[in-house]
Amino acid sequence: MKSIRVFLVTVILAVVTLFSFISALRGYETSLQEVERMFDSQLVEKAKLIANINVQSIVRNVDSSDTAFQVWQGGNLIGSSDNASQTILGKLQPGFRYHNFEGYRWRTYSYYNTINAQWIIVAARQDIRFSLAENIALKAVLPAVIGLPILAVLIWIVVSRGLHPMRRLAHELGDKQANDLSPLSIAVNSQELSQIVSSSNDLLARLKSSLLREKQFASDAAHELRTPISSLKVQLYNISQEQPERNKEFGELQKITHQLEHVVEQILALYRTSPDEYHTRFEAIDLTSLAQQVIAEEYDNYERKNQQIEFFGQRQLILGDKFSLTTLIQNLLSNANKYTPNGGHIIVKIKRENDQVVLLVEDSGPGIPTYEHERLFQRFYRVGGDRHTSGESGCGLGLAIVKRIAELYNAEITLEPSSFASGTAFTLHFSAIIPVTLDSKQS
Amino acid sequence: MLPNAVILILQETLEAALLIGVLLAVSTRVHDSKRWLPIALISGGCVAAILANQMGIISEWFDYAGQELLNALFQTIICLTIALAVWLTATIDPLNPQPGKVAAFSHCAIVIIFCAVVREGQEIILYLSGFMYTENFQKVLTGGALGFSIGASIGILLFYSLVDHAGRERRAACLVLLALFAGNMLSQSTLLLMQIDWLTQSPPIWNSSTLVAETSIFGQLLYALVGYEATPSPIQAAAYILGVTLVTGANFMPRYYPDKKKQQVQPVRGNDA
Repeated sequence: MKSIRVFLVTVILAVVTLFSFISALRGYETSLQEVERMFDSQLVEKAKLIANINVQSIVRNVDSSDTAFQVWQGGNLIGSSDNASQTILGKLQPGFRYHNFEGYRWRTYSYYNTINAQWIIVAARQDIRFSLAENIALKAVLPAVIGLPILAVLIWIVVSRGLHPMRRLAHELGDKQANDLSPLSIAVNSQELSQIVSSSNDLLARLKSSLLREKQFASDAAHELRTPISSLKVQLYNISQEQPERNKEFGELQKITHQLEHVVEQILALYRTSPDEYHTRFEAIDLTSLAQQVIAEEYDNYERKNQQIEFFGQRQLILGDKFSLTTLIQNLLSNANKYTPNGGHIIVKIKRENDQVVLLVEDSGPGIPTYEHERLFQRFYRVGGDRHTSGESGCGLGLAIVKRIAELYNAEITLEPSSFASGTAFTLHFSAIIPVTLDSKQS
Repeated sequence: MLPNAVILILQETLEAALLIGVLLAVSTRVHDSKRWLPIALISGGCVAAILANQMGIISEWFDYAGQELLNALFQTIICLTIALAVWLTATIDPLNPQPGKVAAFSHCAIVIIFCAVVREGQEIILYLSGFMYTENFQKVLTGGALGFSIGASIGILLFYSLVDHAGRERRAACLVLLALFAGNMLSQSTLLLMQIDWLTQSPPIWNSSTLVAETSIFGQLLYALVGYEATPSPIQAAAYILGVTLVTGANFMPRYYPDKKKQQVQPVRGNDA
């Protein structure tokens, strides 16, 4: 997930750095050229000064060892600094050039004094000139380099400040409960965010009314469908008794009717366990005996598929209601039963972990890829969608109901690979109420 | 002094920054955690410091060809690992990334960045340590900071411009950059081998230094981005083409030899009861 703040800070900083540093380099080059020009004009001034002094002998270099001069007249060296050589420094032609002597590279300037027909050559050590010029140019660049961390902090502060209302909005949205469709109460000053808040509130209001309508419709439809389905089952039974020779066709019809009834029951269960419709008073329930009861009731299904179901558990009490917990266990076991192949294994464990009661249902089915885990609990979602190859019929509501009930109990659901070669393990953590030490194992 | 430091550090930083930028963009596509980056940077930096410290001994290996051989080895490893990483990303489905292949990509990224950081890092450390106790150290350090910041900025901008593009465009851009980078690495390794006479030197195929000088910032950017050489030898050109072909081939190979396991339909189960 990309952070807008990190993106803005890094990109702004990168762009500012790139342009300011390339500008600083250009500035450095320009400063160097300017300082060189300044040093050159100093050489010109020195040459003119020496011409006015009218040097006629070797003189001690009073300036420093980084400059030298020669005075030539009629092809003869008539005066020079003590560090200058006896040969011509460069050429007797006016202008600037470079010349090597004394083991250094020198910048020379030749000046012709027309009054007394003298050539004055002034030289300055190039390495010292360059070093001085570089030091001056560096001082122009250094603030940009030193200022970069300060600039980074400033950009961070400004961007963070600018994004503060957005973060507040994100927090408010993040803190909202799944069933909280009340309007956002955040007060924002920015034009962009006030539009988002207003649109979100409109959307929440429409969603709330739409959900209510959907819930009402599903609940009413399921209720209304129950009676005709029951009549249909009775009528089918009666006709099948009258026409025993068409048992095969009636068997198929009964199977389809049973599926239809199952879907209707599941839809009703789903809405019956909605938090806002759930008013049943919780009582102490023994999860172990409840699970044993469900296994016993559904045992035919395991036997039909030749599956081995094992139960490990001890008496564990939690606060809940029988109907919702039975529905939860039924759905988990039915899921395991359906997707575990013939001859496969299913294990149900109920155990105590500190102050929690853990319900574990694991199977030796094909398993569920990790990327499907999040969507698995969505209503009407089936792994693989249209490519569902298990051959089992279903409406995609079972695990949505499990999740809804788990939310009522604040129970955490985790999905992991099972202890078999393949398969899935569903684990639910409920809050326990009474510590129990009685161990039992049933298989 | 300062421009030299800028050019040298920029050259070293730019290569690593561009490589990191492109690999980060690729890892975003395959939903990788990107934890490989700090691991590779820290371990690469430490090993670079150790190698720079021991470079005197290393350079004496193989008849004073140790440093060049080590760098050529790192460059060849980078080229081959880029090809492997490209092959892995070509087989990963971004909508359903297989954890094993994503982990393998992370390992490749660690190897690539580690080798790049070791190679570039030891050269930077050696260069900076040469000026450590001289009056020019401040200038070199300032130049280094400028070069490093420019290189890092280009890397950041490249990364964001790559991730800003849709999947197919980003994939194509990353593939082109990685292929050119791999070609550049293999070409540079042959240059090093020529310097120590392990490969025969030959006259350059062309000379474009008047058009784009290698020492200019643009030349440095081209060098880091596409392996620009103003005077390449035939062996360098051949190595460059080989590197590019290797990576391009690794990208297209899964199309012609698809994963057999992937073709089998896996039984699935549903949310149902």
